[in-house]
This record gives sequence, C-alpha cells and structure tokens, in this order.
Amino acid sequence: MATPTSSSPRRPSSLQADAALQKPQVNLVDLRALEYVDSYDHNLMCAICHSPFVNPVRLECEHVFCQRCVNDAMSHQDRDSRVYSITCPSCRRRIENRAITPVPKILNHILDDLCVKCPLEYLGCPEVKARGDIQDHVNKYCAYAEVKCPSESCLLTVLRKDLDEQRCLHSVMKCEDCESSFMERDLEIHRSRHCEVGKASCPDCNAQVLLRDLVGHIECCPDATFPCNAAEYGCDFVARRETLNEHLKTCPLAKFVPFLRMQNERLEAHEAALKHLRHRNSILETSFSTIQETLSPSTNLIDSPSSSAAGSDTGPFDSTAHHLLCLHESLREEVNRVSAAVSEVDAKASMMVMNESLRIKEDLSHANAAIGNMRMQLHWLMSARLQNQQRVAMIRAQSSGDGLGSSTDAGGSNRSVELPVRRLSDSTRQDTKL
Amino acid sequence: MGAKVPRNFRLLEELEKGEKGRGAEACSYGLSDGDDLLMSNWNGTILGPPHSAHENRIYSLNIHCGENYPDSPPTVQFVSKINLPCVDQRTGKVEPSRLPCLFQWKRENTMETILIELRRFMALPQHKKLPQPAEGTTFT
Amino acid sequence: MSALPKRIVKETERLMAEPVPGISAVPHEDNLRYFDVMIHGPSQSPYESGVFKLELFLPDDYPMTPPKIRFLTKIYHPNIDKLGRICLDVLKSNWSPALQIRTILLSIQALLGAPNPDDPLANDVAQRWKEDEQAAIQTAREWTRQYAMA
Repeated sequence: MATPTSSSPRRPSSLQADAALQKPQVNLVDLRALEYVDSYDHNLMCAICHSPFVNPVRLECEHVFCQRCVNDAMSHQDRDSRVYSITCPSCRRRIENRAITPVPKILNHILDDLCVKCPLEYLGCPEVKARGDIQDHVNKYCAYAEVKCPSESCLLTVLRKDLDEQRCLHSVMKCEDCESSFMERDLEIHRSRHCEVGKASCPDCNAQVLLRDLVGHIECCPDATFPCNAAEYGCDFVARRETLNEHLKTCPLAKFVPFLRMQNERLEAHEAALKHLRHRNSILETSFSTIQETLSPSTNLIDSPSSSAAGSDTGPFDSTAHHLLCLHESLREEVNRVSAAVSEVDAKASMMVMNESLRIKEDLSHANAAIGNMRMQLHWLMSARLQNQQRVAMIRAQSSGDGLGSSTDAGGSNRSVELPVRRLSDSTRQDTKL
Repeated sequence: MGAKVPRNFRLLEELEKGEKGRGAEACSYGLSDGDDLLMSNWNGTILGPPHSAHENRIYSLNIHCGENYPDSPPTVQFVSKINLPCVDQRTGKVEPSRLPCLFQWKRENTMETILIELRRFMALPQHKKLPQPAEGTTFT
Repeated sequence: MSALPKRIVKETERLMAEPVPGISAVPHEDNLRYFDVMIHGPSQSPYESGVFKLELFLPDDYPMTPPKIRFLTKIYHPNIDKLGRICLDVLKSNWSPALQIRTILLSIQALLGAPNPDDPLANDVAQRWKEDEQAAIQTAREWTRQYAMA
C-alpha cells in the first residue's frame, strides 16, 4: 500500500505514551459553545449570553448572571457613563455595591449535571457527558483529543485513540497512487476520501473505480448481485439488480416478507413477555414454598381435616396452592380480627383510665377546697387567741403600774402597728407548720 | 475581524460623524437629499490647502454611494472647476485609477478618507503650480 | 469572519421557531448579523394594516451595545425621522444586555401605537402632532396607505 519515504527515529516506548497521557494539553472548553442534549429549564439561562449559567454570581438585587457576562456589562456601563454605580441588566436597579455574591451550591450542581455533547463531536467523538465532567473528559479520556506524539523526538500531536500504535505517526509517506506526501496519520483518510488517482476494481463488475468512489459505486453498480428479499425465509434466488426486480414481482415468498417479518416481531415480543412471566412465576413459587415450609407444622395442627379434604378433592399442585392460599387468607382474617380486638381493648382501657382520672381530679379539688377551708378557720382561731392573750397582758400591766406614761404610749402605738404584722408572720409560719 | 457593517448602517455612521463636525482637516460632507432613504447622493466640500494655488478656495463635490458601497468605492465628481491630474477636465469626475485610495479601495475607507486624500493631493508640491480655472466656475 | 456568538444563533433560531405575531425578522444569508424586519402597524393606530419594512444590525459587541435599527418604509411619526431612524430610549441610553431583538421589535411596535411628541426626533412632525393631532393622525394614515400597503 504505502511505503515510508523518510522515517524519523522512532522509539516506541510505553513509558512515553503514559507520560503523554498524564500531561494532557490543556484546552479550556468553552462551556457556552457546547451543544446541550436535553432542553433545560429556561430559568437556568443567563439573560445576557442566553446559555445556561457559567460561573454564576448574584447581584445585590438577587438577579443571577454569569460572572463573565456581568463583568462585560459593567465595563460597558463604565465606558458609557461617569457614574460609579451600575444598574442590573434585568431590573435596572442601581447596584451600589459591586461585590458580587456567590450563588447557592445547589445551582452549580444543577448546572454541572446538564448533559452536553463532547466539543470534539465534529471529529467523531460520540460521547455525551455531564457539563461538570466535560473538561475532564476532553483532558484525559476523549479519544479524539490531541495529545503529544508518543515519539520523544516528535513535537506534533496525535489523536488519543491513535496512541495505541505506540509510535510516531508523523513520518511522511507517499500515497502510492497520486505521489503526494502525507503524514501517516492522514494517509488513510486521504486514500479513502480524497485521492484522485488511486483505483480499485469493483468486486462485481471488475470496473476500475476511484478508491474514494468505491463505496458509492458498489451501491449503484449494475453488476452487483443481491439475494432475494425473502432469502431469510427460504428463497435462494441471487441475481443482478434488474433480474432481481423481475423476480421480486413473482416470488411468492417475497410477497410474504412484510407479513412474515411482522409475525416474527410478534413472536419475539411474545417470547420476551413469556420469559418475563416465567421468571416471575419461579420467584413466586420459591416464596410460596418457603411460606409453606414455615407454616406446615401449624397447619397440620390447626386444620388438618380441611387440608386433607382439599387434597383429596383436587390435584396435588392445586391442592397445596389452594390450601396455602386459604390458610393465608384465614391467617390474615385472624390477624385482622385480633388487631381490631386489640384496638377495641385499647380504646376501652384508655376510656376507663380517662374516667378514673377525671373522678380522681374531682376528688382532689374537693380535698383542696376542704383544706383551704380548714386553713381559714385555723387562722381565725389563732388570731382570736393571740388577741385575747394581748388584751390580758395589757390589763395586767395597767393594773400593776400607772407611773410610766411614756411606756404606755409606746405600747399603744406598738399594738396598733403590730396587729397586721403579726397576722402576716402567722400565716407564713402556718405554711411551714403544714 | 468582526461583524461586517451593512451599507445603510455604515452610511448612517458616516452621516452622524459628518453632522457632528468631527471630520478633520477642513473637509465636510452631508446628504444632498435628507429625504432619501437610500442615502445614495452626498455633498462634500474641501477647503483648499494653504500655501497652494487652492488656498482660500472652497471646492464642492458630489459623491454617489452605490448599492455595493462600502465593498466598492463611491463615484466622486467635482462640481467646482479644478485642475488636477486625477480629475476629468470635461466632467469633473475623479478617475478611480488615478487616486490611490479609490484604486486600492478597502472596506474601512470612508468618504472622509477620499476627501482628505483629495486635499492632500492638491497640496502635493508637483500639483502646486498647476494653473487653476477661475474661482466659482463649475463643470457643466 | 469570526464565529457567530451562541447568543445570536439562539435568538435567531427562536425568532424563526416562535415568531412574534405581527413581526418577522429574517437574517441575510451572507451576513447573519443583518436582519430584514417586517412590523405590522398596531390596530387602533393610524398605522393599522400597514406593513413596515425595517433593517436591523447586531454590532460587534452586541448584546453589550444595542442593535441598530432603521425604518426602510416611509412613515409619518414624531419619533421617527426622514431617514427612518428611531428615537427610543431602550435603543440608546436605556439599553440593557438582558433585552433582545424580540423585545426591541415589540417596543418599536408599541411606539407606533403610542407616539410621543414630547421626545421628538422629527421636529416638524412632533410640532404638528402637538398643534393639530387630528390632522397629524390623518397624514400618518395617508402615508401608511401610500407607502406601507403593497
């Protein structure tokens, strides 16, 4: 095919290739130029660049824009006016504080999750990635990204997918047909798509066709032979295009092709459904058998007569399944009944407790009232007694010595003041006594 | 390379520049018909450069901007009589082949470029001595 | 020619996919920043049932600077001059990068429905509008019939 005319010293070493892998060329992906796969919420769109936010920031008025868009807008407003403050592009509110605040993390996460096509799609990369991972993808994994040539002496780049060759693909080769020179990496593309001289013979008509037209030629070559449309259903007719068209008009099998195809599709669909059902059935059967195993001792005890009756009536599989279902049903009923009873009992008990506690509360308040009553009576008695004692003491003092007028004066004033004070102190003392 | 400004908006820009009188070097220009939405016909004036035969003279010109302006140059024609190598002495038409800025026309050139170049042309030493027709006469 | 910014591509796509009723904007094939615009005169206005041609150009630093717009159909309006230039605040000092072609064209359509002779561009028209509004409206109607109806 092609012969290397000059080969640069190539030293294929895996080490080199690894180094190239680890030190990828940093091409910053322009997130605005990406093609977004799904439609996204229009609220995620920056009002200035009309793309989903890139490094979003928030202004004082809580409007969000890309950092770069805000910077651009600010610098333009600065150019047009001499005022320091700027206005928000969305609401025209005056922004005094130029410090822009970051947005909540969640917004960044949502933006990073948007799916985009690889920016190297035009070279053939089919990948679709989350936007947050696309830079990584291009830098480290994308098969169509340019990386350094594995050859130490070569300064050119190759696509990452060609690294596996482990050698320099930049040696200049000559196209053996048109004599023009290409680097090895481009030669194949040249020969299959662009070369104007290289020829190949058509496998059917033996005509010499340009290599780049071969695929197109085979599609419309008059000598190419094709099998009958119904080949897969048993027609072994093979002929050239025109004869085939004739044959197709008469071939009974070919007429049935659409119908057969439809039947096949239906069959496949049914088989798939059947497979699915079988799988489910087996799961159900195993679960039944485990249930049966756990229950079998108790069933034997509880209603062995009924189960044996059922067993004698119908086939073995039917009886066990039926029996099991009955059992299951009765158990469920039992559980329902029990739970109903439990809740009833619970309600009754709580009602009783409530009634009881109400009555006790009433009693308590009666007792409290009685105690209060008694306390008042006690007060009254105590104060009456004290007054009596004082009166007696005074009468005694008067009768024993009338000479000390000043002392009686003091005593009188004392008494008038003392009475309420006493009472107070009495009441406190009573509390401590009780 | 940026956006390619279409003809009409380019002419509006030039009109604004001409109206504001920001044009330099004693050249002025404006629309000859203010109602013409196509803005095809313009008037230009050049004040003759000092220390030349043209000193203190005012030359008026007609400029016609065709549909392909500014991709192709406008046609320029003197109204006032003038004797210059690049001017057809019968019609007053400026020969594109003899004025560099018309000959090597670039999209960035404007009508002002042409007027300034014509004025510079008048002031060239080799053109200083050319005998000039009487002031105030016009091509017919 | 530098690549067209994504924003302009998106705006154009949307103008095509979801056109505004009574307004159309189609970019030139050889200059995607240059649009042919048609605006229908709003009903209940002297421009009713007229179809007005405009041209619109997105300059280099759009959307940081406003689009340039001009009427190509003659129109009698106090805020539009003889060369079709429009006096509208959002096209000048009040431009914001959050505005877009769609909103600007709607503003122009609204301006047709609500002329503002106190902020004139065409002085004689504004004067007449203030002195004798009925006559001015009549002239606007005649011009519409004469120039804006095919």
